[in-house]
Amino acid sequence: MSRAEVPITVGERRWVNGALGVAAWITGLVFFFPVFWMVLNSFKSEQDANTSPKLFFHPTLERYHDVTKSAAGLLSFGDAFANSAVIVIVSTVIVLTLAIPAAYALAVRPVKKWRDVLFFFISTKFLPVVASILPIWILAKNFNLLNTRTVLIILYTGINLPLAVWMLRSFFQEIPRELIEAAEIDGASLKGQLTSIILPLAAPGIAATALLCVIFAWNEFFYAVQLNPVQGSTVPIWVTTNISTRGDFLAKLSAASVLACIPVVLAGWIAQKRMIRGLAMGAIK
Amino acid sequence: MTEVRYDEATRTYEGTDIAAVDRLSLDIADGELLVLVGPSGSGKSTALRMLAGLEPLNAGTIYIGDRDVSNVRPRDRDIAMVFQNYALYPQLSVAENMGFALKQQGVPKEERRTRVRETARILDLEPYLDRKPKHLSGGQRQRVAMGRAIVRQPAVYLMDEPLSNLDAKLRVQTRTEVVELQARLGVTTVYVTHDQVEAMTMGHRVAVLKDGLLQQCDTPQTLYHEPINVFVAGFIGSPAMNLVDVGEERPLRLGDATLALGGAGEAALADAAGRITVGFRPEALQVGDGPLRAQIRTVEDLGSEVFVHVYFEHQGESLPLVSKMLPPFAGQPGDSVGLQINGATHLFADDGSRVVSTTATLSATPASATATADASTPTP
Repeated sequence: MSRAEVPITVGERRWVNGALGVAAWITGLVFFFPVFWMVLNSFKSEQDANTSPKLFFHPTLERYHDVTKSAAGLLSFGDAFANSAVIVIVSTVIVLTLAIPAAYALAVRPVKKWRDVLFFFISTKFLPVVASILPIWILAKNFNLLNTRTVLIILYTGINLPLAVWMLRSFFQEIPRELIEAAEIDGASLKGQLTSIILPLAAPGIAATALLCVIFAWNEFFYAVQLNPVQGSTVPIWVTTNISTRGDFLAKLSAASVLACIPVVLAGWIAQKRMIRGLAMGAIK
Repeated sequence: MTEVRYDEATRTYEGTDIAAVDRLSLDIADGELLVLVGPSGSGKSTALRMLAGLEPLNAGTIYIGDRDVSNVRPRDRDIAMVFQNYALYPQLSVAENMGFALKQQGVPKEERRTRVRETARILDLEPYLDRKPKHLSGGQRQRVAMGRAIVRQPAVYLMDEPLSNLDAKLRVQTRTEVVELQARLGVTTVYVTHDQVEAMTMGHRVAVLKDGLLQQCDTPQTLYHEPINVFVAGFIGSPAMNLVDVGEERPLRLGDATLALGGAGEAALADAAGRITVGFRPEALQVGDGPLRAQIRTVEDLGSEVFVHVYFEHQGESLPLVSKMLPPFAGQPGDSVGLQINGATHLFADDGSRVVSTTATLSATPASATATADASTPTP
């Protein structure tokens, strides 16, 4: 390339970069728009929400008041949040407790036939959830687990575990082998290697994995609605209780949805820095 | 007193039939700095990792002191290792890195701090004790890795190409420092490198490996002057020894010149049947008006010495040779010159083993002798 061409190339790159930037912004805004509209609707009266697009209105917190009011026989806001929090936290903690040693066994010290093990893990994801609901329902009924938090904790742990093992394995593989060997020679026990070397180095990956587990468990709807239609059920089910057969409910539903989103958004925001690095790291592998 | 002994130690990786390290037997004396050297894939790193306990043995035994450590965990072997990429714990400070092993051993905090500080002083690392490895230069990281090994006061140091990530100048400087440090501490050290200059300058003894097999283990001088086979001859020394396959013909001839052997050379040659490879070091090859005609290819004048690369015609092929001359050297690329051998010459048999090391002189082959020799050469 001659010297004279250099500035032109740079100019072209700049133009292309600019165009890509605009395209990225447009895509982002298109994705964000429904969320934005939902938040807007949640501050409207039902009438305003149901008239054709209306940007200017008198904002009100009435709908939030409505949705958090408990009614007899229905899943209350408080119960749903408590159930969700317990189910999400307990299942995620169990998943990490099981997945970290499993990932260590697959990445750092591969057990014999580790490829098969890895495949067995992921193969549990092949079955459509609908296909599994009947046996699961019967099992839950026989063990008296219907309408309990326990059944969802067990299910979400089972569902998240393969994904967590896969993700953590690829994060653990990124840790240079020599570091683990150095720790081994330096006299660190298995526990010492895990706590002082592997876990601190894989912290971003573990954060990302935990966040994905939290998001899935928080949002899961199908099993929750089938097994715990009212009692012991979670926030997504509570959101649907705001759909009524009589009268308008769009603004109320929006308010409920906003409340349901907040914890995940918060968790994501807190973990954001670590997670983006973590996901990018995993993506390279 | 810590000797290290490999006794028929063998390591075969899963899924292969060929041993990465094949029945290695080596005795390393207390306080010795032994260098394992060889090209990549020679098994030198595997041999070191076997001693570290990072690779299991498929056969044989390894002793540290009097203890059979073949089935002992790395952390119970009382060794410290310096890795090629240093393997510093990135989330820990320099002081924490150096004190990590002591902490694992349960050494009290006060003693730990004293020992880390003491070691840091030896290595000029005191100002950096609170820094994280990523804020250190390559040379400083290398010293931290050394420090992490030293602070433990182990029975044996293992070093796996610890200098290969440094730039050339720093490498030479650090090489000297490592040698001095090892001599001062007097701890048995096994040092792996692919760089034969490092091996020659650092090792009390050097073990040359090729394809998992130990070729020769001896002092650098013996390796240089009495290489046991053609591989060691070609591997040790820079530029490499000139090696020419002269075939089955007797007397030995290099191009159009005849090679006369001195001392016990002729007698030894008479006992050796088959093809012979002649080897002589660059410093044994004189470029001037000798009997072997050649042409200069390139001249590398390093100031203190001049490497002259030449071509000569040998049995219809154009072969390269290199000569190490003292400056000033007037020849130019393309010049016709005459070569003479003036120094040690080694003869190697068909299987690569050394037949004899002796002196040799080249002389012009009389025209009649050429004809006779040609006639007597068996045609394939």
